[in-house]
Amino acid sequence: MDIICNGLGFQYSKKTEFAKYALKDVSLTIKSGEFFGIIGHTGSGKSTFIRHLNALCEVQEGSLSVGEIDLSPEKKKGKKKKEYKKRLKDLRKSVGMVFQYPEQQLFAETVFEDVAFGYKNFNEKPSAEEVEAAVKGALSLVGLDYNLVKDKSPFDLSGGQKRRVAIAGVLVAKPSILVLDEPCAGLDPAGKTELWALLHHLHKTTVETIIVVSHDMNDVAKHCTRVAMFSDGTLKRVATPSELFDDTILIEESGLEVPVTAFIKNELLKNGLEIKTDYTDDNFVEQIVNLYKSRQV
Amino acid sequence: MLSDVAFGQYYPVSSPVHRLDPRTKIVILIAYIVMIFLIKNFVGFVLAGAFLLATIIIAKVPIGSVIKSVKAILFIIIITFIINLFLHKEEGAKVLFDVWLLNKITDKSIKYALFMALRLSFLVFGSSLLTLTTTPVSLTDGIESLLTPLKWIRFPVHELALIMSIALRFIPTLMEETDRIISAQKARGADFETGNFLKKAKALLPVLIPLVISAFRRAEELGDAMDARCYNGSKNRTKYKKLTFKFRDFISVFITAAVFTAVIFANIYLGGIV
Amino acid sequence: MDAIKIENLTFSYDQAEKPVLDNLSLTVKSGEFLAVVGRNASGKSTLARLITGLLTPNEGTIEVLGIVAKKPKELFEIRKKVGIVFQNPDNQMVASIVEDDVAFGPENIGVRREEIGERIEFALNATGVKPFRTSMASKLSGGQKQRVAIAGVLAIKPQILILDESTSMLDPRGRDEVMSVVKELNKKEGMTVIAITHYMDEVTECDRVAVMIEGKIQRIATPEEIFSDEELLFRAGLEKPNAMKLADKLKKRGIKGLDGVTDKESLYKALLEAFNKQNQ
Repeated sequence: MDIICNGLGFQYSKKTEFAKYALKDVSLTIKSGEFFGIIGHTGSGKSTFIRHLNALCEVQEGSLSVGEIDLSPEKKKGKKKKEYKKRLKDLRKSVGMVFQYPEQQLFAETVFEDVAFGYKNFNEKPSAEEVEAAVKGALSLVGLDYNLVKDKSPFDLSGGQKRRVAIAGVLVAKPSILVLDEPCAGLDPAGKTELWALLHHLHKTTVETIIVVSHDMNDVAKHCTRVAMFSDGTLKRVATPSELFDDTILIEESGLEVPVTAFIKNELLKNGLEIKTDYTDDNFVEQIVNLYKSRQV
Repeated sequence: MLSDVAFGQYYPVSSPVHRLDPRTKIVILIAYIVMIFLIKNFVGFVLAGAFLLATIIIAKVPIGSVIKSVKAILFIIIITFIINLFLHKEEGAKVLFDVWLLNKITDKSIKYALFMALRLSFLVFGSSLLTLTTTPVSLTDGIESLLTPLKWIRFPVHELALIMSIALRFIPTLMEETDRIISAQKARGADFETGNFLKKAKALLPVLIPLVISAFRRAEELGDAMDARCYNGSKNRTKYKKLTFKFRDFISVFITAAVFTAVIFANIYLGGIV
Repeated sequence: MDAIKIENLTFSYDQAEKPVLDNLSLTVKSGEFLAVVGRNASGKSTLARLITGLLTPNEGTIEVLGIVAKKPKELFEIRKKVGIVFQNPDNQMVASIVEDDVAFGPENIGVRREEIGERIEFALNATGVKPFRTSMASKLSGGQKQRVAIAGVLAIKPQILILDESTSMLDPRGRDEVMSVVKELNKKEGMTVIAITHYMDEVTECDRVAVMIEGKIQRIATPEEIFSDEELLFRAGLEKPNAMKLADKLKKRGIKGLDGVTDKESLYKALLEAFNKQNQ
């Protein structure tokens, strides 16, 4: 499923004196299979953009389609309201959305019930066996022991486990696109590493496309195949991390920090030492070592 | 987003009315309400109306937003009007239509019902003018200050004011939170719109439960933060903000008193319903 | 002089459960910048709450600036001297307007009205949020809110400042804002700082690091020593900062002179020197 948007624009409190563009003229295609990064400072429009992918913001200007599902404004007029609702459901089933601190959305008495919530919402009268199989599958995907946690209250789990349960509650609908907003926020270093590993595992197995919003440029350089950078409501750049971080000035103008590797590369360049790198740690080390060896007399 | 809805209805412009001491505005509003209920004739309403209109103009508040405020209690106004229309009895009233049921309507009851409707509307106009020109925070300050004498009868004025101010402080936070949880559950396929009342109420549980849990967590953390910042009740506590009356406050009170007196004179010299 | 002296501290929220803090001893010097790291639920926040006098120990003693925490009156005295900033900026503000919130602490301890004004001025200047004095707190960014929270603490004039994961909900820019304010307070005002954090980049610049594992302080040492203790890092669920990880990889490939690297600046300088020296 590809995500295609053209000239997407959005204002909060539209038609009031408080109206303000949160998103302006965004055209972007995210192809099926990508591990896509979204970066931008707070208030850059990145949150508004990902809300569109789940129709939590209605398309006001421009067009947006996710796979076969067209979300453009003219598609929901008149008698088509019921049909639009069905489309919404299809969309939300195929685009899983993990918000920041997703553990805050847990509500049910048991982990089982909480994870099952999404499955029951998206599937017409599922049998008990179907629900159980889906919940089992989702919990094992996030690395939790089904028998151990299913009857526990989600509120009795540790922070990291709660987050996994919340992610399982999204995965249970078997989305082909998974959108995550700052999935590592508040985790300890070990928890972060585990979560990135989980995302790569999902990308290899059940989820076609992963879209992740992150503040940490080192992570973005390390994990993403392509990156979109937002600033002040507009899309500033879409590129691979290596192309994007070549343009240090643009990154810093947008109030973001470049990865450590890009910082060092630029500083060395100022001293006449030039390397070409894609900014992943291993490639960076390789390039530095090559340069070092080539200068050895 | 919910949080983008301006809380209360404060209209942020700078005007002499906005700058008045909140206590002055509260006292004037109380006087104005008493006045409205004392009014006995249309001249009184003309006076009160002129007073209101002048205040609206000086306050630079759009007149539409004042009139709109009546919408919230329009239903009550209509009911009051109808009840008085049919049930108000007075000596010497003339029956207008001698038809079944409608024979209850008299010339006096029409006037009386109209007066009641006008009073209620004027009451709402005045109150909304206060909230349009005063921030919730300064309104709280004003109420606290006006209630201070109650400390003598051990009324917990400070605690009440603190509760009000914390409640105000958390409204935007909790609205944002509600918005976030609704979005998250919608993304998990929750449907808040279809089904009968019971089904809709049940659909709200996945929003209400996390919201309540989070509110408790916030309350606990806030309690800790307050303790850590040496909160110890009202004991030995000082207060940074002090409200002071200015010249414009005296002027406003004087004008209000003048209008009030005029209304009383109108009552005395023109008598009852004219 | 010691700012904080903790001896054989044991604490559990529920007597039946395994203690959250287990026979812990710790001394914090006056003017020191101490980082406390460890996994979630290793007891870091509980320790902070005990030092602040929000909790009282089951066993052992806590001495803060010469006061031993036991009775409510002493706890109150300790709270005047120890300020704490929590994780969620939205949950520690009492008032809607910035200056009213900063005034809350001084009001509580009965500071005269005129002096409260001065203290607000000082605290807002020290944290760089003076322009927002009369703003609505809800309209500020995360970094600004946390700096207001620090100002609210500073207005009580504490000698010790505890940051309980105060930067964990902020974006990198907000984190920088907060940390530079705290560093300045430590350097210029001599404030003793205890920073509980998950961000290893914040750890590299402090004086000492205490590593906590399951309610115990496993090791307390300089950042360099801690980050070279691979086994400890693994057990405590910690990771080296990115710049250090890169330096390690480069060292393995035979580039010399990268031993003292802690952050990106020092890595760059060390690399530059390695290149300059390589043919000498």
